[in-house]
Amino acid sequence: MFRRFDVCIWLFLVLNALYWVAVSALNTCAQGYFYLVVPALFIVPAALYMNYVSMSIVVVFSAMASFSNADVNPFLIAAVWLMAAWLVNVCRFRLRTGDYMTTVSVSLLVNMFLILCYAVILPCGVYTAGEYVKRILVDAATSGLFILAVGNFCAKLPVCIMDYFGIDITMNEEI
Amino acid sequence: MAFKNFKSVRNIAIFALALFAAVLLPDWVVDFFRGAFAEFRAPLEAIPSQLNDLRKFWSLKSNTKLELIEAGRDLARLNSAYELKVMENSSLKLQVERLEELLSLPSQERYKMEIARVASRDINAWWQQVTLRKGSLHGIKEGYAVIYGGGVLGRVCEVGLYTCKVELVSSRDFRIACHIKGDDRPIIYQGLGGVSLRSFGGEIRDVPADVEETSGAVIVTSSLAGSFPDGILIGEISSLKLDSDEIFKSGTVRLNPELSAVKEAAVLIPVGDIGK
Repeated sequence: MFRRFDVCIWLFLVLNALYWVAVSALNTCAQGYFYLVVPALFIVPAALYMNYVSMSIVVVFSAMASFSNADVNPFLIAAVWLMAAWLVNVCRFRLRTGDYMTTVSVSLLVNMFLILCYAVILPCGVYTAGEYVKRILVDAATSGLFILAVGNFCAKLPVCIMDYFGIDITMNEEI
Repeated sequence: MAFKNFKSVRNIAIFALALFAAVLLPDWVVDFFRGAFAEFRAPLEAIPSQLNDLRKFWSLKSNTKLELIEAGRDLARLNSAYELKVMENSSLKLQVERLEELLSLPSQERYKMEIARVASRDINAWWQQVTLRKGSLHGIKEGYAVIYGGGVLGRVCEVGLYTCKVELVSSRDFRIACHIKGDDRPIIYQGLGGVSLRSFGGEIRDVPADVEETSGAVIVTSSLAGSFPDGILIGEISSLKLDSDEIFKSGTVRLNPELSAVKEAAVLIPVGDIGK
């Protein structure tokens, strides 16, 4: 089942934990001016470079940990993340060029899709629908800019790390 | 071909399993997993705040001896002023205790303060929460009041072993009985939620119709609120208008913008709960 990417599960989980700490620190510093919602950073690299089973483990674990403190069923969020990851995983062979535009576009699309899902699933914490939409648009725009800046780096980082240890991971079709 | 089919079925089964878990698992199972993952991520959540403390430590360590001597001198002055205050405070405390004993009054000391640092802030369209670096190991429980230098910060909504989540006073889920300072009639306060770009607010209802909108009128907590002591600042009234029933007024409250920049807060632990 884990013939090729067994060790990668640990790598992607550790990287996701580091991204999560960094994003949490930025959100703390932002003091409510904006809020970075960037689930794509946890999903896209795993979906691009792992087989479906390993990717599912990474994505479900990351989703459960990210939403363990929230007032929402974490399994529901895990299912939504898994759906987004599955879509990327299925067409990863078409994205194998791995250039900046492709990686960032996929990350942006996944992020927008998930923010849209959150807007529907998560409990509205604002007193009017107009304010809710406005706030989500501000956060989505800021998150989009953040992904433009770091999306490609986050997608390439696991490849560089594994390359350092002499293990080659590529966007191949599942064997 | 058969293997490909097996893979497709397996992939769909994994997704269906997650969906099944989301919809059909009983609440206690979901709560168990949520609690387990929350404890797992609690140390990670505190890392940025602890790194910040470390950064401050090293920046202070790089000060010259002259700067340290100056700081020490300033602190010595402050210390002597505080020593006088402490003496004054303890004599007043003794006086209060003596009077309570003479008049057989219940003790005034209702809360113990547990000071905690803010580990992270989640202020967005869905939640208005901060995480503090203290939890059930320090005697904190759900529902306890949390205050800071600017007044009410919020209420503890979730407790882990080492951390706790605080629902901010600006949150839509925060509702409390309060009163206008100088007028003991109770009114209801509720947060407005994550309005755009750091403008925090709340709304008040059931304000008696004879209360006029005056600049600088503030609302404070009421002892009716249970977990909060009386008289802690919530915010300043920014507008008031008569309801359609013409019996009560409702309006909006401007909260301290520093609410989202709080670095340290105090959890009020009822004295009766200590050691339980």
